[in-house]
Amino acid sequence: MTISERSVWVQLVVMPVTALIYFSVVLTRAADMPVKEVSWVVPLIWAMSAIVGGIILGTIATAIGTYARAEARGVEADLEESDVRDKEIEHLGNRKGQFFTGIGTFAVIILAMARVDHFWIANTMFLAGILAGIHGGLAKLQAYRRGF
Amino acid sequence: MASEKLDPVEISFEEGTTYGGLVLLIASFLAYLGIILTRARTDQVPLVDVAWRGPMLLVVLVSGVLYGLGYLVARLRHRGPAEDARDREITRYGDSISGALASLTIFVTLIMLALEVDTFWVVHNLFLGSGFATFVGTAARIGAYHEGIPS
Repeated sequence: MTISERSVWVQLVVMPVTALIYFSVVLTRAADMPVKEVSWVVPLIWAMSAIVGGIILGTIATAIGTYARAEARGVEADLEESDVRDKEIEHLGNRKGQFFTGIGTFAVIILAMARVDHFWIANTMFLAGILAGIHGGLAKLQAYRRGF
Repeated sequence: MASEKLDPVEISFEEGTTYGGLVLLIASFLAYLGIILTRARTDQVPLVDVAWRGPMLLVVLVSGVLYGLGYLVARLRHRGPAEDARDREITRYGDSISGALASLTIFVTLIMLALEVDTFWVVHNLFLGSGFATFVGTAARIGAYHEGIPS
């Protein structure tokens, strides 16, 4: 497994988990009080930092894990540098991700035109970003496992 | 579409529609800009207070329909398969670049929303950002048709 593939796996764990926590915190708050008063900004910053930090740390951790496993078995660790195939798969995944990015962008423009509260606009945008990330990640994984 | 006038051996169907899309993108951007600036000037209002909602929807819908129709007509006139492996790789490459820029735009939008920036600027950041992402991706595709995909 190359480092790019490991980071895709990590991304597919970190993104849904973080999004789930974020939305359960924010939406339960929104259920209790008017959305205007819900403080979603700080949780959103936390969630975005958790995603970025989680992917970086997770990728490092999986690399260390691979190294330790190989060491324990007494063989040379093969961390596999990324190659042309990784790059092509990266392109493929980014392209798939665009589907939700496009829909989300359009939805947000419509919501903003309808003068909906910023709470809903920002959360729609964040959800679209998460869905795009997961969709793109799944496409990459499929390409890694079964070819293009 | 540009593909009709040129030698079909020299330029692939997908490359032709790429050029068409680029021209259309630039034209719709200029049209929108023209409408908004003219409204701001003739109505004597600051840019932020211009009625931008109608023109934006109109430009998005009209350019979308025009692209769809143009693509359809070009596809019907074109014989043979629409794309080969090279076209697919180039499309993937270009879309990958515009995808990255589009995610950056989303990130900036979230920050603007968190800072309670005026809706006018939030929407225009999104609108221009995704337009710019498409523009750069299309330009990269055209570059890739001429010079190959940079490694």
